[in-house]
Amino acid sequence: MNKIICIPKITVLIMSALMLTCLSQARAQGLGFEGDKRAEVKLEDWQCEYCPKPEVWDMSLAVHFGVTDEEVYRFANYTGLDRQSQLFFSGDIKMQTEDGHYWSTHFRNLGLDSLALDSAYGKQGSYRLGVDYLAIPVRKYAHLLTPYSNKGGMLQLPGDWPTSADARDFADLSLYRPLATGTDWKRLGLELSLNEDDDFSFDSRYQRWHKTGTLEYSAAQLLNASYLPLPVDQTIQDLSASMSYNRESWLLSLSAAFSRFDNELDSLRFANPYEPLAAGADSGQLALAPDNNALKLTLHGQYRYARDSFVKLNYVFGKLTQDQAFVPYTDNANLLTALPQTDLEGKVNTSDLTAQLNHRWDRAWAVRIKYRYRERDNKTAPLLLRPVISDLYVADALMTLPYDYSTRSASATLEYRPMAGHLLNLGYKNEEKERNLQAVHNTNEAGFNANYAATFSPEWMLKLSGERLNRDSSTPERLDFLGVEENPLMRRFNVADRQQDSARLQLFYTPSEQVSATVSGQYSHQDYVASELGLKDNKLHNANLDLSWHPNETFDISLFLQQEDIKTRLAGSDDFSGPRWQARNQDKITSYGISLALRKLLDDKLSLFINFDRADAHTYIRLDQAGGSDALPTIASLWSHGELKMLYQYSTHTELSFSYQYQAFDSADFAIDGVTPGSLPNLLTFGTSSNNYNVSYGLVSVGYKF
Amino acid sequence: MVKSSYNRLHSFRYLRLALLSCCLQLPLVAMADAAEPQASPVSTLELKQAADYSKDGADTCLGCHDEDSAFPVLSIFKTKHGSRTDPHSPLAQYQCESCHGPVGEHGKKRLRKGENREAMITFTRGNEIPVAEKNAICSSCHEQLDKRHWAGSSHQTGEVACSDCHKIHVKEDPIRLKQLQVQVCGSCHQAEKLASKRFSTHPLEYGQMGCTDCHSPHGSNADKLLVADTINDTCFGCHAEKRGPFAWEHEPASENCALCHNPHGSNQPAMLTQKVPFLCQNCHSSAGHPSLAQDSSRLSTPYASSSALLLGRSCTNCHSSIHGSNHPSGSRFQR
Repeated sequence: MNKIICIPKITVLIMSALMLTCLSQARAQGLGFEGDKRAEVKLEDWQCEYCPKPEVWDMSLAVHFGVTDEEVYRFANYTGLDRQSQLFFSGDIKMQTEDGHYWSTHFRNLGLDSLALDSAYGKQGSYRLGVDYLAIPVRKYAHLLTPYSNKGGMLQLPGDWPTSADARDFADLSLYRPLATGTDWKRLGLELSLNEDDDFSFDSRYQRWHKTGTLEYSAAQLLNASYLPLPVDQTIQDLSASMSYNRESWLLSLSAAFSRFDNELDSLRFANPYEPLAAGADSGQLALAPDNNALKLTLHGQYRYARDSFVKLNYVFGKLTQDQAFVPYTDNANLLTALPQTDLEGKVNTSDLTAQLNHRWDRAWAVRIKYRYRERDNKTAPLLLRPVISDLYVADALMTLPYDYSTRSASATLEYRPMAGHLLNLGYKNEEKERNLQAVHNTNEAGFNANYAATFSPEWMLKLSGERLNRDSSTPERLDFLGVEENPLMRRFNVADRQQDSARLQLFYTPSEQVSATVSGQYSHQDYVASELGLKDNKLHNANLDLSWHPNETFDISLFLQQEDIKTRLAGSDDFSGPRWQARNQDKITSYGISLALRKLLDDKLSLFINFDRADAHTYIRLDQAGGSDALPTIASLWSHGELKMLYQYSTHTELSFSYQYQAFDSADFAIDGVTPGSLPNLLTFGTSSNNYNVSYGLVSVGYKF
Repeated sequence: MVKSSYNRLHSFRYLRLALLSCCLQLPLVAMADAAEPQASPVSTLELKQAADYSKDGADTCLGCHDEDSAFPVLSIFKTKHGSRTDPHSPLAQYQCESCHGPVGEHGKKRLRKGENREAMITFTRGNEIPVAEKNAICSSCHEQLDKRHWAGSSHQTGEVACSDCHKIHVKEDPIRLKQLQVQVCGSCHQAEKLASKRFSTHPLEYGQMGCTDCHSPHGSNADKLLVADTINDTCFGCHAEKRGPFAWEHEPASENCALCHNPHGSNQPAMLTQKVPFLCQNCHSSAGHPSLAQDSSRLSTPYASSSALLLGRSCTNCHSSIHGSNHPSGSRFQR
């Protein structure tokens, strides 16, 4: 799909005119402030005698002991606080010498699954060598149930499993074992930067993510499905390097990045818990995420011909490859046929070209023009395959669909500053997308935007923005090669004709150093004007308030409040004709919180912090159809968090702290509540997978600064 | 019945709009008062242009600006900006006056009654010094960053000052600590900050991730200041298992992850933008089960055979490999 890069004529004209203007400009002016009398300064007399001498060593260590009550699994999500009592450490070590060499190490949560550590050695303004380590515990569900056990890459059922066509026969809980799902993410990073030369800089980084654990997955057996505990053992390795060369008006840089994904488990076999619907369909096999590689090369250049006027060019070439060996069509020996090739030989080339011109005529007027062309060119040869559906029957031959995308976007913005502190931007943008093998080949979205920023005084600032975009799509084509016939009235929302309006307001009020208030609001409406079926419209509005008051150094208080409302309307048809039903979905989320700090109590030794946050969310779903209107049960969730923290400066070097946290999540969701093993005829579930928890957590810490 | 409650809601909406417009007018009136021109015949920059530099450099400033002053500055000596050995550092150049301009009359020891101390170049948000001029002072050293990224970025053109996000007279700039980034960025991006408090989010609240893991606030080639060239490339940085290419691609997944996910946080599992199956039905209405209305009758036993379409993981109860499948029989994302 190599397309000729097509730049709209108007953009070419404007860019040419501005390029001519550029040529007539003076050389780039210097940046920064330089007083007229700088040359008179005798720097050798500036001894900096009062400047504090850098401490060669600066170290601190804190020991933490935490206690939680019983239900901690979900609380450990991201925090790593997964035991009823934990001892862990945090600290800093910094060393710096007078010649600019430094070594620094920070660590926190040493002793928990959420350890973070980074260390760097280098010389200021010369080079830096860094190493970092990060662990993220992702904890999903604590009390699931599964009959499956992983034996040598095969999920097996207990020997006395009551194979049946109906999952309600799987209600004997003695056949299940407890399961907790979650993954541990661990990242190791190494960095090297060189920047001694004012003109040249070099940065490189290697990082390795390793993810292990168990996730929820599922597999279908045509009319039935079963939940499977999916073992995870994945590695992502990234190596990147970039170098830049900077000369007065010019900057050139070249970057390369390589990424490799390895999955230790490329497939997973599982026993069919249901009575096979065809001979030999006793088991199935999943193909898990395939090993793959990604490479990117970026070339960037910029010429600055005046202080705020420049031309930038950026070109990125990318390549994705994937050659993981295919698993067989099916686990059913009766239906096994030969594959046309052993792997996909997947290849995707990507390219991304951006040209940008910013030109300032004077303090009041400037213009910005940007053109971008992006392409995802899927070079993978289409394969004619004969899928075996749920290991039961051979479907009609189907061609794989290597999707290509290309996007051309252009934007022009005129900037006007009518007076100091006031800024108005008026812009136009256009984006044209082409897709292959999809019902809608082209979409073209264009529209205007405006934003206004005003600093009326140091106390008042206002930002307003608005945008209207219209998207037109090409006439949908009937696709005979999909294997599934879509209702011709359906318009997929990402390619449907759309009118989009959005507006945003922000108001900052800072009457003094002690008080600040921010009010903001956002509105957006996407109207899918030509869609008879599918998403009809989507509305979002939110309002936010932040207040803080800091009357003196001993007291501060801040409050926040947000309300967000997201509404969508969807039309469907259950008889392959025009709209027969409509679903209205509303997500309403209210968040609020307060933070209070009292400092310098008890002879300036005690500080007290109180913090409370709450997020209250509801999802309302209503279905309207010929028979009447009907509402699904409201989905509700309430997340609360409260914390009381005391810091006591015991001595110059020693600080004691005590904190008490309360965290609770309480939800009601018809889709998961009460869905136990055996409660549905066609779904072998993990049981009720509620996320609810309620935890009290106490933490005592002793910090020592050496 | 439905119509009358709709009308009632509608009338409330007008009432709300009226109230909102009144509320908005109050601060605008106050702002208009505040916007009365302040007598400032000579701007600070003009004043400093001709001013004398100090005789003793930083020693002149530190005579007053110690830790007990209203503007304590000594913590800068624990940072890169306070290094005298690095020739790039302001302290190795014109010391405090590298950034704040020549001291001029600011250092005058005695002021007459009612006389204000001469201003220095300061970086307080909203003061009379234009944002571009403040930023140019930072860019005079951070020139590569300015050229490569900042110039032309949405933050630069949106009048964001370096000092709106960075603090340099402190031991540790808060925005460089990932656990504090949500607070700093959230002072303008309030909706995104609060989304991080929802049920399904990235680990922003706990500092394992920061805003800068996905966004490059100094500018980037991508929309929304993303660190990678596209939304998908940004997500694949950590979620490379979804990168493919797959034998069977799910076209929205290979086009744009954000069509189905809200990475800032959502009230739905997996940061989905909407409850499944309705999210899927936005695009799928083929004959058979994808086109069925999933109403409350699906919750009760007579229709229980269809419940798996609505309950549990809904569509992904069966179509579990929804990001793409590399199974030769994975055309329906079931393997």
